[in-house]
Amino acid sequence: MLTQSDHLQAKRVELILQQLEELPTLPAVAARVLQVAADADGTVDEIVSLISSDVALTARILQLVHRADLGAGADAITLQRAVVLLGFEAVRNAVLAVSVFETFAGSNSHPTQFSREEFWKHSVAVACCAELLAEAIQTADGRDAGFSPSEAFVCGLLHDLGKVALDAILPKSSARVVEAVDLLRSNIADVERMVIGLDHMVVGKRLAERWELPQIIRETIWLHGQLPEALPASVKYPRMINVVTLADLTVREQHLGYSGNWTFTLNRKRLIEAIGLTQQSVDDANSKLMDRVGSRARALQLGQASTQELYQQALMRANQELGRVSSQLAAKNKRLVVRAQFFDVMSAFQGELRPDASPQNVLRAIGQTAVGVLGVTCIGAFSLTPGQGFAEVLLFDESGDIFESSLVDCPRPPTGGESGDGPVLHAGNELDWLLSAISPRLVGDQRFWICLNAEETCVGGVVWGAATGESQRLGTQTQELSAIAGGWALALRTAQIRDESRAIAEQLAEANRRLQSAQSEILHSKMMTSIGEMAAGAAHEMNNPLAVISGRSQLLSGQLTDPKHKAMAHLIYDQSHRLSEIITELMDFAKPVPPRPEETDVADLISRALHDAKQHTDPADRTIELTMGDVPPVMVDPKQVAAAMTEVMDNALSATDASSGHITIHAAFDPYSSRVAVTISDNGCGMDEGTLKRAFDPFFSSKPAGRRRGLGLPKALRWVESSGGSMRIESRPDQGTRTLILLPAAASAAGQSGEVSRKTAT
Amino acid sequence: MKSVFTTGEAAEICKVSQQTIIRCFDSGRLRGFRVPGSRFRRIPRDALIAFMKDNGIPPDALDSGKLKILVVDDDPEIVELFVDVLERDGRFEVKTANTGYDAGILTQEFGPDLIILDYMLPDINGNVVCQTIRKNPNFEHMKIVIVSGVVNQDEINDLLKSGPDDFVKKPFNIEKLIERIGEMLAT
Repeated sequence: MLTQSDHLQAKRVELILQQLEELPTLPAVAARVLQVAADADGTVDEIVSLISSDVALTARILQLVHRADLGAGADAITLQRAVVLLGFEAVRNAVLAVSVFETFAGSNSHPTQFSREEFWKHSVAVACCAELLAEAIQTADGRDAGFSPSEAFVCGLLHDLGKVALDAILPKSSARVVEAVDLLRSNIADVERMVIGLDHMVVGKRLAERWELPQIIRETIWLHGQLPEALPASVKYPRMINVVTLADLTVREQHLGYSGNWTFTLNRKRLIEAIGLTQQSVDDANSKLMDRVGSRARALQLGQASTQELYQQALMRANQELGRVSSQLAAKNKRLVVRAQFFDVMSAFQGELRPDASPQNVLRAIGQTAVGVLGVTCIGAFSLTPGQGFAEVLLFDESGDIFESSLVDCPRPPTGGESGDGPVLHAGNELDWLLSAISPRLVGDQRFWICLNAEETCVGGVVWGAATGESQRLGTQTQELSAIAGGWALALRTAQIRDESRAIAEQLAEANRRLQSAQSEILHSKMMTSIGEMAAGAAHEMNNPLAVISGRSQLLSGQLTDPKHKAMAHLIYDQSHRLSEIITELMDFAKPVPPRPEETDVADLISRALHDAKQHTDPADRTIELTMGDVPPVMVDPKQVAAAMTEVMDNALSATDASSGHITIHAAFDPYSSRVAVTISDNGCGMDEGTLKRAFDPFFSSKPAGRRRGLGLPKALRWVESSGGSMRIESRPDQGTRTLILLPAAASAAGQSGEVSRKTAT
Repeated sequence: MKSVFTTGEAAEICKVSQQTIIRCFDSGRLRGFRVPGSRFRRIPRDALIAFMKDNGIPPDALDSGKLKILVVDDDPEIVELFVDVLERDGRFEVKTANTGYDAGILTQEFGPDLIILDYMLPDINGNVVCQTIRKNPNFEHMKIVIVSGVVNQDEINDLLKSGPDDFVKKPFNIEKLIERIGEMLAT
C-alpha cells in the first residue's frame, strides 16, 4: 500500500525527471558521431567528416587523442590517422567526453556550494584513474578486459553525470544536499533521496538514456558506488562498474577535485579482488594518476593546473578536511562528555527507583538528580496526580536532602506550554499556587521550572530559583534536559498510576468488607425472618396439641379425687400453657412488632416498668432507690421500652438477695448526644465474662434451672434499639450488674437545649 | 329459649320434611309470619307447639330445649375434646364438622345456636366461613366463636374483622370457655 506521502513523492520525482527534457542536448555532431560509431556499417570517412565539421571539437579531439596516443608524434597526427590508429571507439569516446563536458561546463551560474570546476576535476581524476586501472587490467590479463581504457575514461568522466544534471535542474536543493552531506557526513545518495526524492544515479541514468549513451556508460552512471556483491545479475558490465567505483574511491581518498561527497566507506580490497587486480598493480596505476590527471585536465581546458599544483591543492584540501573532521570530533566529544554526565544522572535516578516506588519515592529521586543536573542550591519537586486537586511538594538542599515536605492545594493544574523552546520555563502565573507556598525558600530573584508532562498533562515539576538568564545557562543542555524531564515524568506518572490503582484496590477491599458485613447482616435478618415465619407456623401447629393436652388435663383433674393426682394433672395443664407462651415469645422475638415511638415521660416509663417487675418478683426486703435528674421526654415506643426496662429490673431482682439486695435506678440527660441515660444497678451475683459476652444471645442462660428462658435481655435490646436507643451491660461476679439504657430525647427537647445555647452565646 | 323458628328448624323438630312445613304454613294450618320485606317464613314457638299438638307429634325435640352447638375443626382430637367437654355439661346438643364445606351444610341443616370455629381449615379458612354466615340474615342470631392457635396479633386482628362474637386462643381453659359460651347464648 502506498501512503499519501508516497504518492506525492512519486509525483515529485516524475516532475524532476520531466525537467531533464529541458537540459541542453548533446551537440549535434557528438550525437551523430555516436550513431555512426555504433553502426557497423559506419566508415572512417564518415566519422572524420563529421568531426571535422566542428573545428573546435576537432582541435580538442586531436589534443586528447594526442595525449592518449602511445608514442605517436604530436604533429604527425591527423583526424583521419587518429581514427585509423585508435579505432572508432576511442574517437567516439573522445567526442563524447568533450561534448558532455562542454554541455555543462559553462552553465554554472548559481552561487551554490557546488563548484563545477571542482566537480569536473573530480570527474577527470576518476576518468584517468579508471583508464589507468583498465590499462593495468589489459597488462595483467594480456587479453581484452571487455572494454578499452578509453571506454573506462569516458565512464569515469561521466559517472556522476546525475549530479550536474540535478544541480542544473534543482540548484537550491542540490546545495542543501551538499550542505547536509557535509554536516551529517553521510552518503550523498541517501541525502538526495531524503531531500529531493531521488538520487543522482537515477537522474544520471535517465539523462544517459535520453542522450542515447552506450549501455556501458548508462550502467556505470546508474550503479557505480555499489558493492560488487550488490550489483544486479542482469548487469552487463559489472567489471566496468567496479573499476569506476574503485577509481572514485581512490580519487576521493586523494582529495582530487570535489563532487559534494568525500565519504566513501566501501571495502577496497573486495573491489580489487572483484576487478581481478592485485594491490600492487592498483598501486602502480595510482602512482601515475597525478600526471595523467594533469595532462587530461589541460586537454579539457580545466584550468592550467600543473601536476604540482594539483598535488598542492589536493594536499591543502586533505588538510582542510582533516582539520574539519578533528574539530567536529572535538565538538562531538564535548557533547558526548555532557551526555555521559546526563546518562550517569539518569542511571543514578533509575537506580533510585524500586518497581513499586510511590510518588514520594520518585519525587525524592527526582529532587536528588535535579540538584546535580541543574547545579542549583535549592530545589522543589512536586507531584500532581491528575484530578487530585493538591500537590505533594518536597524541598531539597544542595546535597539532595529533603528539608521540607508539604501538601499544597492546586486549584488549576499548570499546562507548562508556550513559554519557550526548551524544557526550562519561566515560572509564571500558573505556578502561583505553588510559589506562594515555597518561594521564600528558593534562592535568586527569578523562578524557573521544568514541567513534567505525561499524556499531555502536567503530572509534576521541578522548581528552582536563579538569576535571569537561566534558560540561556542551561540552553546547551536542552536535549538532555528534555530527555531527563521525560524520564522523570514517566517515572512519576507510573508511580502515580500505581498509587491510584493501589488506592482503588484498597477502596475495593474496604467496599468488599462492608459488603460482606452488610451481607452477613442481611443473612442474619433473613435468618431471623425465616425463624419468625417458621415460629408462626410452628406456633399454630403446636398450639393444637397443646390445646388437647391442656383440655384433657383439665378434664382429668376434674375427675381425679386424690389431691396429689389432681395436682399432677393441673401441672400438666400449666406446663402446656407455659410452652405455648414460649412459642409466642419466640415468634415475637423473631418477628418483632414495629415500634410506635411517641413523646414519653421517662419517669412514667420507669415506674411502669418497676411496677411490672414487682409483679413478677416480690421485692421483699430489697431496697430500690430511684433518682431522677432534669430529664426531657424521650421519643420511644413506650410499651416496648417499658417492657425492656422490666426485663432488666426482673434480672436485677432475681440476681439480688431478698434481704440485702439493693437496686438503684437513675435517669440523667446528656445534652451533647441529646440522649437520656437510664442506669439500673444492683449489688447482686453479677456475671462472669463468658456470661456477659452472651448476655444478649437468645436462649442463653447461665442458670441451669429455675431461670426462665433466655429471651429476656435479647428482647430488651431489640426493643431499645428499634426505638433508636442503645443498651450496655457491665458486670462482675459477686459485685453486681450495671445496665445502661440510652434513649433518644424528643426533638422538642433538642430544640430547647439549642435555644439555651443560643441565649448563652448572645 | 328459642322463641321463633325457621321452616327448616320446625321440620327438624317435627321430624317432617321442610316442604311439608312450608305447605302447612302456606295453607294456614301452621300459623306464622313472613319476615318483613322478604319471603322468609317464621314460626313462633307457641304456634309450633299448637301445630305439633294438633298433629300428634311428640314434643321431645322441642322440649329438650338443648342449645345446639356446631364444632368445626380439622383436628379430631380437638373435636373430641370439645364434644366431651360440651356433652359433659349436658346443656348442649353437639354436631361436628371437619371442613369448611361440611360446616356450611351443617349450618343450614342443623341450625346451631353457636359455632365453635377453627381458623385453619383444610378447604375454606374459618374467617371466610364466618363471613359467609354473617351475610345470611337467616343466621343472624347464630353466635360464632373462633378458636385458633394463631399467635400473630395482626392475624388475630384480621380474624376479628370477619365478624365473630369472640376469639379464643388455643390452648384454652375449658371451664372459662364453657362459662363464656353460656354467657353468649343467654343473650
